[in-house]
Amino acid sequence: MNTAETADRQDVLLQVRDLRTQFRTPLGMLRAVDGVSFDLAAGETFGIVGESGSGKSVLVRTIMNLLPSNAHVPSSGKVLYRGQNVHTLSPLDAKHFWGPEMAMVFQDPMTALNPVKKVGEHLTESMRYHLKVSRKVAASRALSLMREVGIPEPERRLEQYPHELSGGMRQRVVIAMALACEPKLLIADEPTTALDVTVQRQILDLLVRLQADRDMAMILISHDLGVVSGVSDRVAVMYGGHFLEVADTRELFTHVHHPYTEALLRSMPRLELPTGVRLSAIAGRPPDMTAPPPGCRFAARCEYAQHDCEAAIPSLRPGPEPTHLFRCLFPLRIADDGSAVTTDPASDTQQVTA
Amino acid sequence: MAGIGTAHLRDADDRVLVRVENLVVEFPAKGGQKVQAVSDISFDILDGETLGMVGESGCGKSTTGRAMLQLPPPTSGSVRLDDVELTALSGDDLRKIRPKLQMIFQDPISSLNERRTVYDVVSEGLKIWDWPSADIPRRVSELLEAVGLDPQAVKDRYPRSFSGGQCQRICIARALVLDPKVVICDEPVSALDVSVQAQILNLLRDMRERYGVTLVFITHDLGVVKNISDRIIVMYLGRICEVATPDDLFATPAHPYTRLLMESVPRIETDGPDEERQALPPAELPSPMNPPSGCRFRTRCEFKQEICETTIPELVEVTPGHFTACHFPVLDDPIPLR
Repeated sequence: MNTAETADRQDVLLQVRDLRTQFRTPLGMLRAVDGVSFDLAAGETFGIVGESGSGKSVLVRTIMNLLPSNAHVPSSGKVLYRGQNVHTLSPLDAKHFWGPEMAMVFQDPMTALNPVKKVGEHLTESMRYHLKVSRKVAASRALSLMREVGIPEPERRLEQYPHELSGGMRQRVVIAMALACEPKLLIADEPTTALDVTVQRQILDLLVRLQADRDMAMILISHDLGVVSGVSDRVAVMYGGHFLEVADTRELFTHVHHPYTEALLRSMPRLELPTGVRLSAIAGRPPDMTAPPPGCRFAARCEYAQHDCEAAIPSLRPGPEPTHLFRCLFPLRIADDGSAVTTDPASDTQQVTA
Repeated sequence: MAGIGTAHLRDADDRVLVRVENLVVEFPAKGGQKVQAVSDISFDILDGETLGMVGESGCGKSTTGRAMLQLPPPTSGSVRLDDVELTALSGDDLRKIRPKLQMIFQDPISSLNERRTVYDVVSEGLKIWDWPSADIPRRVSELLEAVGLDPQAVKDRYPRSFSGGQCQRICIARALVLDPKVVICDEPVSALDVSVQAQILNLLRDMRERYGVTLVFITHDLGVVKNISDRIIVMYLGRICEVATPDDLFATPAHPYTRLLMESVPRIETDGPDEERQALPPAELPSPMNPPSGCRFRTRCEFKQEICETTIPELVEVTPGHFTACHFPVLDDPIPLR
């Protein structure tokens, strides 16, 4: 089965099937997203981790149906939200869809806010439009949203302009905006990348709490394995436009099967490593997605690659654990009898001291 | 000196290469006010040592790095390289010492001129300093090779045809070509993907061994600073909180701010989200225009008492070689790293 479907999970909110997103560029068709399938249950948090150019941001923009005009989404790919194909919605239906159903939190809170509008207007605008509530009701709901996202002195803050807030407070406002119409699915694209580490911690704690309180589903995108692991129930590792490995968070980090996931973990300068160790860098560069290789997208950089890896793209298949999928012919930590070999991810870094 | 103290300076050590004392950098702000980006800090660097400076935005780490290069010169204080007082130099004298001090920036792509070839970029300093023209191509090739690029393949190409990691390699070659004593690296790996970041950190380590260069490594990333540094300075709002070796700093962080930083770093959580986790209260960085009196971290500190408001804490030695500027340092209470 070439998908990350979760047939046994109840109440599927989002089904993504063989999604492809292509961009016309002077160098040819760029295959930014190239065959992604997964299911998301209501209330579940799904983390997607990948490096620049892996296609993770384009993937969520395709799910939101927020793509520039030079993008092409072949109709074989589908995004079904409660069975409704998001890409066949009329522009007006799509407008009613963003906000009450799906909402998005962007990386840079300054560009996501309108500099000439007060914070309060950002929050009430969508409630007035989507929920058809009175000015007064919208204002009082805005105030409680500000409290919910932990903004001190919310009455005063509602009257301020975005430039009067710090980066962390702005990101809280952007999160409050996204929550205003009580979406069932929140998509957060690198929501803490522009923030300092202590502020990042606060925003991540906030997202975990809000997600649990509201029983909202969430897709969190990050380049940081640490960020994703602390927030997500399930994690996908994306590279070259598709998933290389998908599993429940604990399962993924205790039985890493794909060499790319392992290489990423080993290249991180993690705090728990001894000082002065030489990091295991991944040689080479990600594939050129205007002309991707016919075989495994990671083969050219993989230390375990063999001849067969270059013939065809390996399918996304389960290993010893049925919900743990990986796209590799020679997976790691699977014993000859087919059972998984447990390893401690922190001690399994095997680095050489410099 | 009413500052944060100089207990951590290694006066007795004859390997001291750089000595910064009572450095203050002020910038003009609106309404005739002044912002003190760096408030009376002192530190020294040994020859060949890598000094890590870590802190969040607005802590003054980049301003400190630039003030060492006199870009711009500090408002007051002293910066000595060997026996030369850099703040006393101007014009041609300052220009003559610049080859000894080089810098590597965060965004490798925008710090290269897109209209100049790699050869032009790396050879420019040599031409300015009148190297014999016959020797220049050999020196450029040597450096390009040292940073892991094939000189023949890259020298006539323009920066746009390289990835971020390769551009950072070119910047490193450019910084090292004049054989500097000190290279100030301002967030050199922050714009790079983690796999490339590891390549550049390893390269900087190799360059340090090969050319014996002293590094000042400025970053917000605790994992990176632990990996590369021999000694680390933690900064907050223009002042030094803590100075220690990476082993001491991360084994027994003594300043409450260092501890907050460490506890904030997202680790690999094999158990997934922890909904019971005690959320940190939202905290705002105080305005640098009007910093808190006494200890600048007190507004966010869980241990603060009255003295923290009235008295600026001085750096004191808590264990040999480990200094912290706190009235109530946390002693011998390690934060588990797993």
